[in-house]
Amino acid sequence: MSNITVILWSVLYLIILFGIGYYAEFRSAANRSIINNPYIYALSLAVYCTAWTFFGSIGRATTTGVEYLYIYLGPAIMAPLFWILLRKIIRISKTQRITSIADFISTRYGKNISLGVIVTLLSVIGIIPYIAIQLKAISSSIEIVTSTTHVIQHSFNVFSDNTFYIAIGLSAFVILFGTRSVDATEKHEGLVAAIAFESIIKIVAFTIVGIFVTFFLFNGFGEVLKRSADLPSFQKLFVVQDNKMYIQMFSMMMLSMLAVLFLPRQFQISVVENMQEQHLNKAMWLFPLYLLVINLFVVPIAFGGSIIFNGQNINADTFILALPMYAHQPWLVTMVYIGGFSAASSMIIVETIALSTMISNHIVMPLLLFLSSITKLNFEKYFRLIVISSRRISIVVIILMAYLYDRTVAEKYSLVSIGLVSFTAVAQFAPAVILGLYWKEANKNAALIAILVGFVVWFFTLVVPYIVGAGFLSSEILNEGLFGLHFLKPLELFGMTGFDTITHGFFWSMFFNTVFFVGISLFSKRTTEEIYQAEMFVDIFKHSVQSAEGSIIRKGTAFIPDITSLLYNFIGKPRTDYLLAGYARRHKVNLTQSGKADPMLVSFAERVLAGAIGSASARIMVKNVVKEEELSIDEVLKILRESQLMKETNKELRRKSLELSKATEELRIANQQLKVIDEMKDEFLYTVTHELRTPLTSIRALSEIVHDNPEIPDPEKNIYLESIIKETERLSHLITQVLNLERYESGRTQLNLSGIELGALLYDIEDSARQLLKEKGLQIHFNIQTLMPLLEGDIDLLTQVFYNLTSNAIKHAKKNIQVEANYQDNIYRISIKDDGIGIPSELHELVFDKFFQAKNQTLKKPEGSGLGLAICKRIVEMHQGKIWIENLENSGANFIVEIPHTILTNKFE
Amino acid sequence: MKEKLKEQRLLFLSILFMMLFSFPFAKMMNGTFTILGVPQIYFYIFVLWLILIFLTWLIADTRLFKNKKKKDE
Repeated sequence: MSNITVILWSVLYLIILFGIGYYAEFRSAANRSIINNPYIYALSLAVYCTAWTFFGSIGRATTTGVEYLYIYLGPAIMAPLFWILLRKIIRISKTQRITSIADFISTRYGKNISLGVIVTLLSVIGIIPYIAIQLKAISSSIEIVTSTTHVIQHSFNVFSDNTFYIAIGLSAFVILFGTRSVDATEKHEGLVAAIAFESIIKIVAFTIVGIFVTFFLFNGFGEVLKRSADLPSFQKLFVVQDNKMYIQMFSMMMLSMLAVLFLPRQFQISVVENMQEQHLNKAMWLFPLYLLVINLFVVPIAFGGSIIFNGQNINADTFILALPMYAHQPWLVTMVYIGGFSAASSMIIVETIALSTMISNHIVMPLLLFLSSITKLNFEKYFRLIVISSRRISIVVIILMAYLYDRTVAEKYSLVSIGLVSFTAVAQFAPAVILGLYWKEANKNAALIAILVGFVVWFFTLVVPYIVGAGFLSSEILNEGLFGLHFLKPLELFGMTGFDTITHGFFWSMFFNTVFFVGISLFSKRTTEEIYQAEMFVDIFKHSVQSAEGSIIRKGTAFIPDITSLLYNFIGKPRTDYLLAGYARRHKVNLTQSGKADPMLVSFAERVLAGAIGSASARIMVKNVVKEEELSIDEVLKILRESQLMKETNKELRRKSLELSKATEELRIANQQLKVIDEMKDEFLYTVTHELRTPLTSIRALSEIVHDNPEIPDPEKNIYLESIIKETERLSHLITQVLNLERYESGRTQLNLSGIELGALLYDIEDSARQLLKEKGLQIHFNIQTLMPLLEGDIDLLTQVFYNLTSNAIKHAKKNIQVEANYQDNIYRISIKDDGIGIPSELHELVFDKFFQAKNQTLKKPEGSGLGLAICKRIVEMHQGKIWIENLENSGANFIVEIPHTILTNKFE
Repeated sequence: MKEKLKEQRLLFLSILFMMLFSFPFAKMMNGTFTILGVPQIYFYIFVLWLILIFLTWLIADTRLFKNKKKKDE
């Protein structure tokens, strides 16, 4: 592939990244964020996989075998702890507007400036080589793909060096998407979207090449592994040979567990760019899954390369490129190049952003404040400009330094070994951060000294050997020890031998770090500010955001104009006004321009500033404009206790009032139901008495006639008496029905279940209604399915239902009545149709009400009691069935009853 | 209460697997056998890794354990 092609591909890829960045920012501005979802979050966490993974793992796998995996097992084991550790760190960082790991440590220990400086320096010194190896990976891969053979030839000239221009392009990207706003707590949406995209590219490229090597160059995993059995180094790779290797594996695991939390880029992505804590739930398993998948094909590529290039002098770190080149697959080569480029560039982008924020907030700002305090010059107007430009400059400087490092030192070492040194550097933050999260006594002096000591030991045991190796120091120090003292040999500190370099350095640095940290914490005192911060960190879940905002430890007051002009200088007028308006709304205060700012507003301003310039510098800035009196430790503790107590009391109160309102609601509903029932009862009573009075009145009238007129002839008298008997019958029928209905409704009636032959039951009804049918000259037609299973039900009650329905139909029919019954899907369906005038559809439900007819006297003269259909409905419901009316096409009503085959006995109380 | 239990479960998971990937266990699984052509220790690590991911998913991202706890309360 020609030089031009490679440049074109790289430029094209960068353009795509810019495009994605702009799109994400555009979406974010339109309030439709594309990165606010757990999948993007998990993908962006995969910034953990750098060129080290893409190229270096393969090299590592050919030399130490299974050990390379432990760099990815560490994060997988740490992932379940994300919910415990990372969630707490995220919560704290959001409340206190923390922007980097240096800010986190300095804020925890009383917003201490020196801590911020040390953590920043250690990070920069520790990470620049790591960035350098990313550039090295890019430059080697360019060399390989542009060379005609797949062997690297060295040549070096800055301006003919493609890597140099790529480094410049990457700086431009970081500056554009990483330093847009001075408020570092604002999300870099474009950046995160680009990183997530890069994570997809690198895993896809790696997997495709893995598949190509495994299944096209070889015949699957089996063949690769079988053929590699002939290699001389086979035993070492397949089986762990030396027990010492287990220790090395364990230290890799521990190192990577810490690195996945404390590498500046991981902190940036997992904490600062986190949108919601809940996203952790998905990231906790998706991220390890990503690591697993990207590692699946490392072994086949490593072993495949060893087989094919056996005996040739090819760096195993470059197998992933060399193999497709060997196979003459230009497209595959391009893809691997882009994949490797994305792995390297994602790391460079996020790491430089994180480091530049740390440099501007923890080195440049304190320096500036110091300068302005001794020279009495007023820099304030330019602060904002200085912060942003210091970030931009440090981005360029970091990348250039990495570039130089790459061109001088890094050439001699493998990707992984340099990376591990960086891991050990950031592991030095572990005691201060993790213990700081759970142990209130951990204090500032301890953190300062412990990190410094860890730093020194790290430098001595891990960096010095590299410096010697690069030829900047004589090897005397390695052989004779520092100052000729034998117990100070960098690789055998205090005479410890038998471990690999990394384990050795990791052990000693962490040992001294932790011992000093705990020891000094136990024997020194904390300041008020430290105690307060310890409380806010350790008990973060007990303090709500409001109480963090509300509880202040300094009784500081200031003039509002001072505060606002301070904020203007740093975050600009529009954002200041926006934030202050939000504050005024939340706390229902009126921020007049001339008024005095209360302590709460002061501490709010300080937190806003902290988001831009780091908590320690913010502290100093605010101190300058605020008249404050320091509170005593006892007072601080009292305030804290009160705020906690208040939160608990509030919670209790809320719970109680919730319960109360729930109970009230239940009572209200019950009361309403009672009222409805009461009304129904009144109505029922009224209608019943009304209904009873009608026959009673006629009985009385007829009896009076007979009584008052003894001279009436017997035949006529008989007619009256017959009428009286008929009315009495009607009366007693009515009373029976009322009693029945009452019995069904109260649930006192038990169903007397038996197997019923539905067909026979319906035919029987025809028999008993025959007289009526004859009188009206009606025809009844049956259409009843034969061989229905027996219906389980109360035969007397069901007979009553169908008799009622049939007599209803008889009342209204003109010529024909149709009775149908069938059984399907465990349901009996009986329909009884007449060809009468039908029932208006708005009354379909009302007719099943008690005394419907009686209540609607205007419709037609009542026939029957008006309780028949209500009783039918009740009985059908007792059989867990349904009854309703369908109007027929032309005329006539169709009553339909559905009863399930099996009904549960005793369902009705 | 619920949060606490979830935290403890995840902590347990993490510690358990840290041990399973380390010395005595890793050494026990270190041998010359191959399973489907894959050396024993690689097979062990990858399978264990998958199980870890699966269990993390089960505890962190499913309702499986949430419902059970409601009954307990």
